Amino acid sequence: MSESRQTLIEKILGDAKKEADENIERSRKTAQGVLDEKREEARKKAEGESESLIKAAEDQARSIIESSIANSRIRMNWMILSEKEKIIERVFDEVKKKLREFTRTNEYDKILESLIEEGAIAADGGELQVHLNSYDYERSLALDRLSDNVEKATGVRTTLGKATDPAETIGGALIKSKDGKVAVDNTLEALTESRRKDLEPKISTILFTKTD
Amino acid sequence: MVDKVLAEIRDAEKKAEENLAEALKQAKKIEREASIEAIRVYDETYAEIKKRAREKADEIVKKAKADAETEAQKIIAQAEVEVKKLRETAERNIARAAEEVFKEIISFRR
Repeated sequence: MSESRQTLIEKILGDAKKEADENIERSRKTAQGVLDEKREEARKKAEGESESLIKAAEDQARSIIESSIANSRIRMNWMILSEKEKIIERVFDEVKKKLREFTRTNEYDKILESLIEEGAIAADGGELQVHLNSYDYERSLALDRLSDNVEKATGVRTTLGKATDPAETIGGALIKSKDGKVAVDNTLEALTESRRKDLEPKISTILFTKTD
Repeated sequence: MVDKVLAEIRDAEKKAEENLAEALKQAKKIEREASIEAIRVYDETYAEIKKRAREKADEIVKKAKADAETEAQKIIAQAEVEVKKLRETAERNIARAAEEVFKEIISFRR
């Protein structure tokens, strides 16, 4: 009797312990499940966002490189263009030197007269002042003959006279009406500038085409 | 004698109930603590992955900047070579170009 009683009591306590242990174990598993689920949820969310973050960084990286290359190419073109402009400017400086030397030759007299005549015709004749540099001022110019030529070309009675105030120029002439309303710049500088745009492509071809 | 036995059994049952109740309390505590822990685990996991991604993104951008600088230097170096060649070619032709322009100007007609 005593033995079976003891066995019964042990069974009651044993079963209870077993159930208690099972309850705790179940809770532990539930807890672990919650943790695993939350970890997985966080991982999925973070990885999704990370993917976008990396993609944005890759796009930014591409843009940085492309923009740097584009800017460098612009800078490269600018460097080349700027160098070409500098060299072309040197050509025009050289041309000015040659023109200055040319104004000391006899051949120039004829050119100067042509420039005066053309300028006067462009000014449509009349009473005109011819502004020359101080060197050309001393030249003896056939202004009467040129006046006749202008008169014939324009049909306007024309008198050409040397202006007393000199022009700051290498050569050529600045033609002004007496009242100053009409002015035609036929200096060599103006002539050079007026041809500049047309001449630059030709100069570029001569300068930058390899001959060797 | 029977009463004593029944009393002992009732005591055992009472103790068993107490043990079960204590176990349930403990189980609830485990689950409660797990819900708090889950928030921490979520935040930590999320933060850690995002941190690694940000580091990787920063690295990508940093590398791109370095690559861009290298590319830019290559292009500028190439430009300097081009400019030098241009200058050398032009140098040989300046006098000829000036002579051509000079001729064009003195044979003027507007």
